[in-house]
Amino acid sequence: MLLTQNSKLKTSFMLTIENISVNYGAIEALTNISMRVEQGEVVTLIGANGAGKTTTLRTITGLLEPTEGRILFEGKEIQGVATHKLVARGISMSPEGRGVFANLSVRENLQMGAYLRKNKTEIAEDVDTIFEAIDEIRSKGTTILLVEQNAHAALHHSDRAYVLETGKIVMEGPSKELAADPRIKEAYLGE
Amino acid sequence: MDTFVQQLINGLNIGAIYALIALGYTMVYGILRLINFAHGDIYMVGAFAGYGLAYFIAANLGLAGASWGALLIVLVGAMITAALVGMAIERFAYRPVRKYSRMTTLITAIGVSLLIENLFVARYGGMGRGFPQLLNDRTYQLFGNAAISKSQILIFVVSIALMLLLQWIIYKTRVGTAMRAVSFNLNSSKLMGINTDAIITFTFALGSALAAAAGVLTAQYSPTIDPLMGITTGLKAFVAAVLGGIGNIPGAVLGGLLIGVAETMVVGYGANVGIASTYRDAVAFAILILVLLLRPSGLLGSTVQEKV
Ligand SMILES: Nc1ncnc2c1ncn2[C@@H]1O[C@H](COP(=O)(O)OP(=O)(O)O)[C@@H](O)[C@H]1O
Ligand SMILES: [Mg+2]
Repeated sequence: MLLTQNSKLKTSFMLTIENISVNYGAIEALTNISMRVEQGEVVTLIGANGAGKTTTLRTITGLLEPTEGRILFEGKEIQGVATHKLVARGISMSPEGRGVFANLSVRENLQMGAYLRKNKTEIAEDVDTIFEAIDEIRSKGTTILLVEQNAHAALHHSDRAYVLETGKIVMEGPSKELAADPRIKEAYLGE
Repeated sequence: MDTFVQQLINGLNIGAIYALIALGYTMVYGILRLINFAHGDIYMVGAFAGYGLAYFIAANLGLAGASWGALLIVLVGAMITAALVGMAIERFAYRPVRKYSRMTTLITAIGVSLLIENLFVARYGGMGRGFPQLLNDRTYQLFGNAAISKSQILIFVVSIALMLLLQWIIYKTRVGTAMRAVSFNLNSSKLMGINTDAIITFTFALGSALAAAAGVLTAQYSPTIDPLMGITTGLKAFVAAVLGGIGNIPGAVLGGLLIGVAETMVVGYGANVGIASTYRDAVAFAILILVLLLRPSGLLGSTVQEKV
């Protein structure tokens, strides 16, 4: 998930999640989760299958609504805001799976990523130089919330980390420290 | 041979009408996986809107009697009216219940259909009424005894033009690309920044406008309209969509034409094999049962299982 700063207002916390709980019908998938991502930071969320990583991302992007708690993006509450509006405000996430629209052409798929942009020639140029664009994102120091099955890679490419277990945050801290923690080593790094 | 050519012309003609309506069923299904049971009633609403407009312009613009101008105003006006009605139904009846199970939306659709039918019966009575003739209809002799009427030519020309226009919207425009994306995956489309609610509303508007065109065109060929005219025609168009493969746009057109031809062939030849022409309405449903038994995904529908 990429977080792009829009407001001139300097807030050090790009994204703040405060005590959110999320249900799928009668199933509680997230219980009282809190986390924050600062401007320019790379934060990772690790956890076993079914821990609630995807649910967390779906909630931040507005695909799900929390039953309680608040989500702040650049200081403003965003829970309950429609997904396409959040995309316009700078929260972007690629869809799960390969995220390809199999019924659209390759070019149309690439253009989808620029759905909200108006300038057609710019879009065409960007689609042609898509790989350059990816490198550019990296070098710009964009804020990233990284959610990966591969805990080893995630911890080595991030500044801070949160550990999720059955819908609850059980540990948090600088990624280097967590990577060295014996409990993390045993449960997630297989060492 | 004359009978065959004649029944083929008639069948393709009525089939073009089914196809226009079937497109609305299939587009809404494609995008929401909803069978919009009120869609046949939109065809009726379109015919009534055209009827009201025809009288209005006759009284106020002096466009009485048959004229191309009156026909164009009535056709376009009815399409716009039905598009607005379709959008309102989506916005106020379906959207609030969309977050519940699909069954809830389906039952809502049945309720909307009954509501529209009964409102119109209460307002206009159950009797048929004559639609003003906007075309100096006449018959052109083809070869042998086969003939085609001006109103049939109108149906062919307008429905082909509308289908080409729809094709262009769906494959060449930004909103059409978004429609295809949404029908493939709703959540992924939201993440691309697509206002999916707006795309869904637009889809209802398109489908409803096509159904209204079918209503006005039919009324030029067989000029009696009544509040329940959408039930049988709507069901046949639904069968056409299923036959072609529901969710598949060329399939809806193919299904519509096939149902139309099957129906008129029963009228033309059924007696030879012991099927009375009064069975014409039963043909579509016999076809529905066969499709569901033999090829539930329809002629052009993909056999790929739905993703979970
Ligand atoms: N659509 C859904 N309906 C019901 N329960 C779900 C749904 N998606 C996920 N869950 C449940 O929510 C919990 C968290 O799942 P998820 O967020 O997908 O975990 P992760 O991405 O960490 O593997 C799991 O118990 C899962 O079974
Ligand atoms: Mg997951």
